[in-house]
Amino acid sequence: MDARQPNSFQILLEYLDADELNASEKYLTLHLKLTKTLIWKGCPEFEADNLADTTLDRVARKINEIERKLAEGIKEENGKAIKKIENINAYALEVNRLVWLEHWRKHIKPRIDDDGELPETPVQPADLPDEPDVRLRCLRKCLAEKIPDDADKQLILGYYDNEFEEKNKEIRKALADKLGITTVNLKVKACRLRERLEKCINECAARLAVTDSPVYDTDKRGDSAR
Amino acid sequence: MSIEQEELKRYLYAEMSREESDALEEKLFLDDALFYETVDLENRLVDRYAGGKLSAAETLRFERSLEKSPERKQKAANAVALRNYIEEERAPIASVAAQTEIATPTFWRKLADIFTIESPLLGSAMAGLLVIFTIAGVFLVLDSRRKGQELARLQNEKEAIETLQNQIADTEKRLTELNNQLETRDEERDELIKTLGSDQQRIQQLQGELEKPRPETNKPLPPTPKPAAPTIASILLSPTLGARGGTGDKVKTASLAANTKKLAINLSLSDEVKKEDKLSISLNEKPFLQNVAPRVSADGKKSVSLTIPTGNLPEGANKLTVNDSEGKEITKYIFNVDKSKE
Repeated sequence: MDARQPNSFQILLEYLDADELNASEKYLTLHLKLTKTLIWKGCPEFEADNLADTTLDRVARKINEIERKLAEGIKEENGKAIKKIENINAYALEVNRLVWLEHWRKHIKPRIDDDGELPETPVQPADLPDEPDVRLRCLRKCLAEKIPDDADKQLILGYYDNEFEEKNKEIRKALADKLGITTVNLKVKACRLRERLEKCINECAARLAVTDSPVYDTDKRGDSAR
Repeated sequence: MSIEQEELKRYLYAEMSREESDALEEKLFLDDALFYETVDLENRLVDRYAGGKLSAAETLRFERSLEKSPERKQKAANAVALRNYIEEERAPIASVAAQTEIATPTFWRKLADIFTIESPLLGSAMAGLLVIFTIAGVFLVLDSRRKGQELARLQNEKEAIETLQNQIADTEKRLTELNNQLETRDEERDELIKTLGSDQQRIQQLQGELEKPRPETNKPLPPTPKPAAPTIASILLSPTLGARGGTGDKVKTASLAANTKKLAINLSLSDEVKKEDKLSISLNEKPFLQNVAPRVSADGKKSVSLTIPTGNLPEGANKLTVNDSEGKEITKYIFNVDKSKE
């Protein structure tokens, strides 16, 4: 993010939406989309975050370059017409795939066996990383630090309380009504809060694993790609 | 469960082909609601897995996906921690309330039951409608928020303008007051100038009167034009007879007007009187003053001043006698009092 030119970033936001508030909302969603799709492909979380930033850097630079050329009156290059990017989300997805492919070839492929086959044995619950107490400790700390707003805390506790799972719909509707938002917005907010919380817990647990005892093997992470 | 959700599951479990997965990703990037539904579905699956609520087949699918999406192991571990935390934090009251909610369906629950979709096709259609309504809802919420901010900004500006208008009104009022004060001061100044002019005129008149030749001392004083205050007449007397000499001058007359209350007399003493002498003065043979020190002027002449109420002065001849400290007569002064002007 630091390498991004403020000018390019500003243009990217303007491309996302003319309204600043909407633009920032769309930016957050786009960043989350990039991160999550990378993770779902098998990218480790900390790398996914950086790769999403790299993607948005490139998109912003490209937009800036196009704007500059159009401003200079250049309408064609190498026989191809220079046009404004119509759909930033679709364009970002393409760039993201390219960035992921580069990263996979450079960093992940060398870690995979020569034949490229992935282990088929299902993972048992016992393989889950570290001790629950560590995560619970981290969760408490992260809730206090990253989600200081009490309403947000209540949202997380209410939304992810699965005691009466079969009645989740009604419970979430009631929660949305209580908070004065729609159920869709409640879902978006809950997802974002949980992402923030989990990222913090993972970092915290990794730190404790390094400083206390290495309870899980980080080398196993990120050794697959779809 | 809708077909769409099963597709999303296949995507999350990494069971799709590369082409299928790419196609779904494109949908996710174009449809925010679908994207968040996918994130939410993953959370639900992870939570159910962590809570041991997945079916055996589903558990197998989930666990296979852990190898391809190793980050999900951490999500599962986090889900365990979150579940434990929620169980710890769950207030008994909330639990009771939730149980009551389940036991006695509310209006909203009944309404929700009416709209529970059994048909997958109808479900998809309703889901589509829901997405449209959702987008419209989000738009309306954001638009409302933006308008709210704009309204707040306009209200702030309005308040600022009102404050400025009040300040301007106050300033104008103050200016008017100052102008009034200035006018009042101008009037006062004019009044003072007039008074000063009349005073100067009066001074000139008085100076003119002062410059007029003074009447002779033996003549009666001119009557005071405005006898507002008690008037004092004065007379200068030289020794008439005495042991230490006298001038033998003509007897002077003090003409006293009706409002003359006192007669100031200056007695010119002979050179034989010493300045250290303590004199006593008698009027018409009656003691009047004791231990009076003579006053010595710049040219060395000595005198004594005294003031006698006119009531003590009978009409006609009066005599003042000056004695030394031993009671020996030094000189006499004879003068006439004329009260005929009363």
